[in-house]
Amino acid sequence: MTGNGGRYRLSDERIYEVFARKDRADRFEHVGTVTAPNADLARVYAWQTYDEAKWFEMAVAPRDAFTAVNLTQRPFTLGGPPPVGEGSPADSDSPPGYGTPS
Amino acid sequence: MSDSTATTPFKTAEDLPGEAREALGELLLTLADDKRMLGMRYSDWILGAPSVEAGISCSAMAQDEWGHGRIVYAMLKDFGRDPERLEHERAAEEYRNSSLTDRDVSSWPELVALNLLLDTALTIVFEALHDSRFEPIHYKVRKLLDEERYHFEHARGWTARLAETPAGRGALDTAFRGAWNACLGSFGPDDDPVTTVLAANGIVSSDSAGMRRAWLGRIGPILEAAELDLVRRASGTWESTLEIDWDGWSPERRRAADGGPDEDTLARARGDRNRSLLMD
Repeated sequence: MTGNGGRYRLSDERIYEVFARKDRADRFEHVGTVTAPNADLARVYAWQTYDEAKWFEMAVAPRDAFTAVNLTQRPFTLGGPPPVGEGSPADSDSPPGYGTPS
Repeated sequence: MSDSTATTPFKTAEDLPGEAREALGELLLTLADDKRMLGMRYSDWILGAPSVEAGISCSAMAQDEWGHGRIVYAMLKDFGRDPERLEHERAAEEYRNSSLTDRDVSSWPELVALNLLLDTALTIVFEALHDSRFEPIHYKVRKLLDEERYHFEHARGWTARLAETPAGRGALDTAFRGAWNACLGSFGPDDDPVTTVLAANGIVSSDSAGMRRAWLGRIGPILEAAELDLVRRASGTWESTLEIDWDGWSPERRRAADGGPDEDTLARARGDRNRSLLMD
Protein backbone atom coordinates (compact mmCIF):
# COMPACT_ATOMS: atom_id res chain seq x y z
CA MET A 1 0.00 0.00 0.00
CA THR A 2 1.31 3.40 -0.93
CA GLY A 3 3.61 4.87 1.65
CA ASN A 4 2.41 2.72 4.48
CA GLY A 5 4.80 -0.19 4.39
CA GLY A 6 2.04 -2.69 3.74
CA ARG A 7 0.49 -2.27 7.15
CA TYR A 8 -2.97 -2.43 5.70
CA ARG A 9 -2.24 -4.16 2.47
CA LEU A 10 -4.92 -5.78 0.40
CA SER A 11 -4.79 -9.31 1.64
CA ASP A 12 -8.33 -10.54 1.31
CA GLU A 13 -9.44 -9.46 -2.13
CA ARG A 14 -11.81 -11.64 -4.10
CA ILE A 15 -12.40 -12.04 -7.80
CA TYR A 16 -15.90 -11.04 -8.87
CA GLU A 17 -17.39 -12.14 -12.19
CA VAL A 18 -19.16 -9.33 -14.02
CA PHE A 19 -22.32 -9.88 -16.05
CA ALA A 20 -24.28 -7.35 -18.05
CA ARG A 21 -26.97 -6.95 -20.67
CA LYS A 22 -27.77 -4.04 -22.91
CA ASP A 23 -31.49 -4.54 -23.06
CA ARG A 24 -34.23 -6.05 -20.96
CA ALA A 25 -34.81 -8.61 -23.72
CA ASP A 26 -31.13 -9.64 -23.87
CA ARG A 27 -29.51 -12.47 -21.98
CA PHE A 28 -26.77 -11.58 -19.55
CA GLU A 29 -23.29 -11.84 -21.00
CA HIS A 30 -20.13 -12.43 -19.04
CA VAL A 31 -18.10 -9.27 -19.63
CA GLY A 32 -15.10 -9.80 -17.36
CA THR A 33 -13.88 -9.76 -13.79
CA VAL A 34 -12.79 -7.31 -11.13
CA THR A 35 -10.78 -7.88 -7.99
CA ALA A 36 -12.17 -6.14 -4.93
CA PRO A 37 -12.17 -6.39 -1.14
CA ASN A 38 -15.93 -6.05 -0.76
CA ALA A 39 -19.17 -5.97 -2.74
CA ASP A 40 -19.42 -2.15 -2.66
CA LEU A 41 -16.11 -1.81 -4.42
CA ALA A 42 -16.80 -4.73 -6.75
CA ARG A 43 -19.95 -2.93 -7.95
CA VAL A 44 -18.15 0.37 -8.51
CA TYR A 45 -15.14 -1.23 -10.18
CA ALA A 46 -17.36 -3.28 -12.49
CA TRP A 47 -19.46 -0.29 -13.54
CA GLN A 48 -16.48 1.96 -14.12
CA THR A 49 -14.23 -0.65 -15.77
CA TYR A 50 -16.72 -2.20 -18.18
CA ASP A 51 -18.27 1.02 -19.41
CA GLU A 52 -18.01 0.18 -23.11
CA ALA A 53 -21.80 -0.01 -23.45
CA LYS A 54 -24.80 1.73 -22.00
CA TRP A 55 -25.87 -1.27 -19.96
CA PHE A 56 -29.47 -1.84 -19.01
CA GLU A 57 -28.37 -4.09 -16.15
CA MET A 58 -25.09 -5.19 -14.61
CA ALA A 59 -24.46 -7.62 -11.77
CA VAL A 60 -21.44 -9.10 -10.04
CA ALA A 61 -20.93 -12.31 -8.11
CA PRO A 62 -17.87 -13.63 -6.29
CA ARG A 63 -16.16 -16.29 -8.39
CA ASP A 64 -16.10 -18.67 -5.46
CA ALA A 65 -19.89 -18.52 -5.21
CA PHE A 66 -20.17 -20.52 -8.43
CA THR A 67 -20.49 -24.28 -8.38
CA ALA A 68 -19.12 -26.43 -11.18
CA VAL A 69 -21.68 -28.64 -12.88
CA ASN A 70 -20.01 -30.91 -15.43
CA LEU A 71 -16.35 -30.21 -14.68
CA THR A 72 -14.64 -30.39 -11.33
CA GLN A 73 -12.63 -27.20 -11.75
CA ARG A 74 -14.17 -23.92 -10.60
CA PRO A 75 -16.00 -22.06 -13.36
CA PHE A 76 -14.23 -19.20 -15.16
CA THR A 77 -10.78 -20.63 -14.44
CA LEU A 78 -10.40 -23.00 -17.36
CA GLY A 79 -8.77 -21.67 -20.54
CA GLY A 80 -9.64 -18.58 -22.49
CA PRO A 81 -7.83 -15.26 -22.36
CA PRO A 82 -6.98 -14.11 -18.85
CA PRO A 83 -9.49 -11.41 -17.90
CA VAL A 84 -8.72 -8.29 -15.88
CA GLY A 85 -7.71 -9.14 -12.35
CA GLU A 86 -6.55 -12.66 -13.22
CA GLY A 87 -3.44 -13.93 -11.56
CA SER A 88 -4.05 -12.51 -8.09
CA PRO A 89 -3.19 -14.71 -5.11
CA ALA A 90 -6.83 -15.68 -4.69
CA ASP A 91 -6.71 -17.41 -8.05
CA SER A 92 -3.29 -19.00 -7.78
CA ASP A 93 -4.61 -22.53 -7.39
CA SER A 94 -6.08 -22.51 -10.87
CA PRO A 95 -3.59 -21.48 -13.55
CA PRO A 96 -5.50 -20.19 -16.56
CA GLY A 97 -5.28 -22.06 -19.81
CA TYR A 98 -3.94 -25.45 -18.72
CA GLY A 99 -6.38 -26.65 -16.13
CA THR A 100 -7.40 -30.25 -16.60
CA PRO A 101 -9.92 -31.81 -14.25
CA SER A 102 -8.06 -34.44 -12.25
CA MET B 1 -38.78 39.97 -1.97
CA SER B 2 -38.55 36.38 -0.77
CA ASP B 3 -41.64 34.29 -1.01
CA SER B 4 -41.29 30.89 0.59
CA THR B 5 -44.79 29.79 -0.33
CA ALA B 6 -44.56 30.48 -4.04
CA THR B 7 -43.97 27.47 -6.24
CA THR B 8 -43.95 29.09 -9.66
CA PRO B 9 -40.86 27.82 -11.42
CA PHE B 10 -38.17 30.16 -12.65
CA LYS B 11 -37.55 29.32 -16.30
CA THR B 12 -34.39 31.37 -16.72
CA ALA B 13 -31.81 33.07 -14.53
CA GLU B 14 -33.33 36.43 -15.53
CA ASP B 15 -36.59 35.40 -13.88
CA LEU B 16 -34.91 35.03 -10.49
CA PRO B 17 -35.32 37.78 -7.90
CA GLY B 18 -32.12 39.84 -7.82
CA GLU B 19 -30.82 38.65 -4.46
CA ALA B 20 -31.55 35.01 -5.35
CA ARG B 21 -29.80 35.34 -8.68
CA GLU B 22 -26.73 36.77 -6.99
CA ALA B 23 -26.77 34.08 -4.28
CA LEU B 24 -27.19 31.21 -6.75
CA GLY B 25 -24.31 32.59 -8.81
CA GLU B 26 -22.15 32.52 -5.69
CA LEU B 27 -23.14 28.98 -4.77
CA LEU B 28 -22.66 27.66 -8.31
CA LEU B 29 -19.19 29.17 -8.56
CA THR B 30 -18.21 27.45 -5.31
CA LEU B 31 -19.58 24.15 -6.58
CA ALA B 32 -17.83 24.49 -9.94
CA ASP B 33 -14.47 25.24 -8.32
CA ASP B 34 -14.90 22.40 -5.86
CA LYS B 35 -15.73 19.96 -8.63
CA ARG B 36 -12.78 20.99 -10.75
CA MET B 37 -10.25 20.76 -7.92
CA LEU B 38 -11.65 17.53 -6.52
CA GLY B 39 -11.40 16.06 -10.02
CA MET B 40 -7.76 17.01 -10.07
CA ARG B 41 -7.13 15.28 -6.76
CA TYR B 42 -8.78 12.10 -8.09
CA SER B 43 -6.67 12.33 -11.24
CA ASP B 44 -3.47 12.47 -9.14
CA TRP B 45 -4.15 8.86 -8.08
CA ILE B 46 -5.01 7.25 -11.43
CA LEU B 47 -1.55 5.69 -11.62
CA GLY B 48 -0.81 5.42 -7.92
CA ALA B 49 -3.92 3.81 -6.46
CA PRO B 50 -3.69 0.59 -4.42
CA SER B 51 -5.03 -1.53 -7.28
CA VAL B 52 -5.62 -1.25 -11.01
CA GLU B 53 -9.35 -1.19 -10.37
CA ALA B 54 -9.04 1.64 -7.84
CA GLY B 55 -6.99 3.59 -10.40
CA ILE B 56 -9.69 3.10 -13.02
CA SER B 57 -12.23 4.38 -10.49
CA CYS B 58 -10.09 7.45 -9.84
CA SER B 59 -9.96 8.05 -13.58
CA ALA B 60 -13.74 7.72 -13.90
CA MET B 61 -14.37 9.97 -10.91
CA ALA B 62 -11.90 12.57 -12.18
CA GLN B 63 -13.69 12.65 -15.52
CA ASP B 64 -17.06 12.91 -13.81
CA GLU B 65 -15.92 15.81 -11.62
CA TRP B 66 -14.40 17.74 -14.50
CA GLY B 67 -17.57 17.19 -16.50
CA HIS B 68 -19.68 18.45 -13.61
CA GLY B 69 -17.40 21.46 -13.18
CA ARG B 70 -17.60 22.30 -16.86
CA ILE B 71 -21.40 22.15 -16.82
CA VAL B 72 -21.66 24.44 -13.80
CA TYR B 73 -19.09 26.96 -15.11
CA ALA B 74 -21.07 27.14 -18.35
CA MET B 75 -24.28 27.86 -16.42
CA LEU B 76 -22.67 30.88 -14.81
CA LYS B 77 -22.92 32.75 -18.10
CA ASP B 78 -26.60 33.26 -17.30
CA PHE B 79 -25.61 34.85 -14.01
CA GLY B 80 -23.64 37.68 -15.56
CA ARG B 81 -20.30 35.95 -15.17
CA ASP B 82 -17.82 35.14 -17.88
CA PRO B 83 -17.11 31.38 -17.91
CA GLU B 84 -13.97 31.92 -19.98
CA ARG B 85 -12.48 34.18 -17.33
CA LEU B 86 -13.68 31.94 -14.51
CA GLU B 87 -12.07 28.87 -16.02
CA HIS B 88 -8.84 30.28 -17.35
CA GLU B 89 -7.93 33.65 -15.89
CA ARG B 90 -8.38 33.77 -12.14
CA ALA B 91 -5.71 34.13 -9.49
CA ALA B 92 -5.45 31.61 -6.66
CA GLU B 93 -7.16 33.82 -4.09
CA GLU B 94 -10.24 34.12 -6.32
CA TYR B 95 -10.96 30.40 -6.16
CA ARG B 96 -13.74 29.03 -3.94
CA ASN B 97 -12.65 25.39 -3.75
CA SER B 98 -12.24 23.72 -0.39
CA SER B 99 -8.82 24.29 1.16
CA LEU B 100 -8.56 20.47 1.23
CA THR B 101 -8.06 20.42 -2.54
CA ASP B 102 -5.55 23.28 -2.74
CA ARG B 103 -2.72 20.77 -3.21
CA ASP B 104 -2.28 17.06 -3.84
CA VAL B 105 -2.96 14.69 -0.98
CA SER B 106 -0.10 12.54 0.21
CA SER B 107 -1.82 9.26 1.09
CA TRP B 108 -4.65 7.03 -0.08
CA PRO B 109 -6.60 7.40 3.20
CA GLU B 110 -6.54 11.17 2.65
CA LEU B 111 -8.00 10.66 -0.80
CA VAL B 112 -10.68 8.41 0.71
CA ALA B 113 -11.44 11.27 3.15
CA LEU B 114 -12.01 13.63 0.21
CA ASN B 115 -14.03 10.93 -1.53
CA LEU B 116 -16.36 10.30 1.40
CA LEU B 117 -16.48 13.64 3.22
CA LEU B 118 -16.00 16.32 0.56
CA ASP B 119 -17.54 14.61 -2.46
CA THR B 120 -20.61 13.68 -0.40
CA ALA B 121 -20.87 17.26 0.92
CA LEU B 122 -21.02 18.51 -2.67
CA THR B 123 -23.60 15.87 -3.53
CA ILE B 124 -25.78 17.02 -0.62
CA VAL B 125 -25.77 20.57 -2.03
CA PHE B 126 -26.71 19.31 -5.50
CA GLU B 127 -29.48 17.22 -3.95
CA ALA B 128 -30.81 20.40 -2.37
CA LEU B 129 -30.94 21.84 -5.91
CA HIS B 130 -32.69 18.77 -7.33
CA ASP B 131 -36.26 20.04 -7.05
CA SER B 132 -35.28 23.66 -7.36
CA ARG B 133 -37.74 26.28 -8.56
CA PHE B 134 -34.87 27.19 -10.89
CA GLU B 135 -35.82 24.73 -13.60
CA PRO B 136 -32.80 24.92 -15.96
CA ILE B 137 -30.76 23.05 -13.39
CA HIS B 138 -33.02 19.98 -13.09
CA TYR B 139 -31.71 17.74 -15.86
CA LYS B 140 -28.08 18.61 -15.11
CA VAL B 141 -28.44 17.76 -11.44
CA ARG B 142 -30.19 14.48 -12.16
CA LYS B 143 -27.38 13.25 -14.39
CA LEU B 144 -24.75 14.41 -11.94
CA LEU B 145 -26.40 12.64 -9.02
CA ASP B 146 -26.61 9.40 -11.03
CA GLU B 147 -22.84 9.47 -11.45
CA GLU B 148 -22.18 10.48 -7.85
CA ARG B 149 -23.85 7.30 -6.60
CA TYR B 150 -20.74 5.39 -7.61
CA HIS B 151 -18.41 7.91 -6.00
CA PHE B 152 -20.27 7.38 -2.75
CA GLU B 153 -20.11 3.60 -3.01
CA HIS B 154 -16.40 3.81 -3.78
CA ALA B 155 -15.89 5.91 -0.66
CA ARG B 156 -18.02 3.61 1.47
CA GLY B 157 -16.24 0.53 0.18
CA TRP B 158 -12.78 1.93 0.84
CA THR B 159 -13.68 3.27 4.26
CA ALA B 160 -14.94 -0.16 5.25
CA ARG B 161 -11.89 -1.84 3.76
CA LEU B 162 -9.35 0.37 5.51
CA ALA B 163 -11.20 0.15 8.81
CA GLU B 164 -10.72 -3.63 8.87
CA THR B 165 -7.24 -3.35 10.37
CA PRO B 166 -6.02 -1.22 13.30
CA ALA B 167 -3.36 0.43 11.13
CA GLY B 168 -5.87 1.21 8.41
CA ARG B 169 -8.37 2.57 10.90
CA GLY B 170 -5.67 4.74 12.46
CA ALA B 171 -4.74 6.17 9.07
CA LEU B 172 -8.41 6.80 8.29
CA ASP B 173 -8.93 8.51 11.64
CA THR B 174 -6.02 10.87 10.99
CA ALA B 175 -7.17 11.62 7.45
CA PHE B 176 -10.83 12.12 8.37
CA ARG B 177 -9.98 14.38 11.31
CA GLY B 178 -7.80 16.45 9.00
CA ALA B 179 -10.67 16.95 6.56
CA TRP B 180 -13.51 17.15 9.10
CA ASN B 181 -13.79 20.84 9.91
CA ALA B 182 -13.50 22.00 6.30
CA CYS B 183 -16.25 19.59 5.22
CA LEU B 184 -18.56 20.09 8.19
CA GLY B 185 -18.30 23.85 7.65
CA SER B 186 -18.49 23.71 3.85
CA PHE B 187 -22.24 24.40 3.83
CA GLY B 188 -21.63 27.72 5.59
CA PRO B 189 -22.77 28.86 9.05
CA ASP B 190 -26.38 28.28 10.07
CA ASP B 191 -27.15 31.93 9.26
CA ASP B 192 -25.26 31.85 5.97
CA PRO B 193 -26.82 34.58 3.80
CA VAL B 194 -26.41 32.70 0.51
CA THR B 195 -28.27 29.52 1.45
CA THR B 196 -30.79 31.45 3.56
CA VAL B 197 -31.84 33.53 0.54
CA LEU B 198 -31.87 30.50 -1.74
CA ALA B 199 -33.95 28.43 0.68
CA ALA B 200 -36.42 31.30 1.16
CA ASN B 201 -36.90 31.45 -2.61
CA GLY B 202 -37.27 27.71 -3.11
CA ILE B 203 -34.03 27.48 -5.07
CA VAL B 204 -32.59 24.98 -2.60
CA SER B 205 -34.71 22.65 -0.51
CA SER B 206 -32.78 23.21 2.72
CA ASP B 207 -30.54 25.81 4.29
CA SER B 208 -26.98 25.34 5.54
CA ALA B 209 -28.05 23.71 8.80
CA GLY B 210 -30.36 21.33 6.94
CA MET B 211 -27.66 20.36 4.46
CA ARG B 212 -25.20 19.76 7.29
CA ARG B 213 -27.73 17.47 9.00
CA ALA B 214 -28.29 15.60 5.73
CA TRP B 215 -24.55 15.17 5.29
CA LEU B 216 -24.08 13.85 8.81
CA GLY B 217 -27.01 11.49 8.26
CA ARG B 218 -25.41 10.16 5.07
CA ILE B 219 -21.92 9.56 6.36
CA GLY B 220 -22.78 8.90 10.02
CA PRO B 221 -23.57 5.19 9.67
CA ILE B 222 -20.38 4.63 7.66
CA LEU B 223 -18.19 6.31 10.25
CA GLU B 224 -19.92 4.43 13.04
CA ALA B 225 -19.36 1.11 11.28
CA ALA B 226 -15.70 2.07 10.85
CA GLU B 227 -15.55 2.85 14.60
CA LEU B 228 -14.49 6.45 13.98
CA ASP B 229 -15.81 8.68 16.75
CA LEU B 230 -16.39 11.85 14.71
CA VAL B 231 -20.16 11.37 14.90
CA ARG B 232 -22.72 10.27 17.46
CA ARG B 233 -26.40 9.45 17.26
CA ALA B 234 -28.60 11.78 19.26
CA SER B 235 -32.37 11.26 19.36
CA GLY B 236 -32.64 9.84 15.87
CA THR B 237 -30.24 12.19 14.13
CA TRP B 238 -26.51 12.24 13.65
CA GLU B 239 -24.33 14.98 15.03
CA SER B 240 -20.66 15.83 14.95
CA THR B 241 -18.70 15.16 18.12
CA LEU B 242 -16.53 18.17 17.24
CA GLU B 243 -17.75 21.76 17.16
CA ILE B 244 -17.17 23.66 13.95
CA ASP B 245 -14.27 26.06 14.17
CA TRP B 246 -15.22 29.11 12.08
CA ASP B 247 -11.93 30.82 12.71
CA GLY B 248 -10.60 31.93 9.33
CA TRP B 249 -13.87 31.28 7.46
CA SER B 250 -14.42 33.70 4.59
CA PRO B 251 -18.11 34.32 3.79
CA GLU B 252 -17.06 35.75 0.42
CA ARG B 253 -15.02 32.74 -0.66
CA ARG B 254 -17.20 30.24 1.24
CA ARG B 255 -14.01 28.54 2.48
CA ALA B 256 -10.94 29.25 4.59
CA ALA B 257 -9.88 32.80 3.81
CA ASP B 258 -6.20 31.95 3.63
CA GLY B 259 -4.58 30.24 0.70
CA GLY B 260 -5.83 28.93 -2.57
CA PRO B 261 -4.80 26.33 -5.11
CA ASP B 262 -1.02 25.92 -5.20
CA GLU B 263 0.95 26.83 -8.31
CA ASP B 264 0.78 23.41 -9.95
CA THR B 265 -2.92 22.97 -9.17
CA LEU B 266 -3.72 26.43 -10.48
CA ALA B 267 -1.77 25.93 -13.71
CA ARG B 268 -3.57 22.64 -14.37
CA ALA B 269 -7.00 23.99 -13.44
CA ARG B 270 -6.62 26.98 -15.73
CA GLY B 271 -5.01 25.03 -18.55
CA ASP B 272 -1.99 27.35 -18.57
CA ARG B 273 0.13 25.03 -20.71
CA ASN B 274 -2.50 25.00 -23.42
CA ARG B 275 -3.29 28.68 -23.30
CA SER B 276 -2.09 29.20 -26.88
CA LEU B 277 -4.69 26.67 -28.05
CA LEU B 278 -7.68 28.41 -26.48
CA MET B 279 -10.28 29.49 -29.01
CA ASP B 280 -11.45 33.08 -29.10
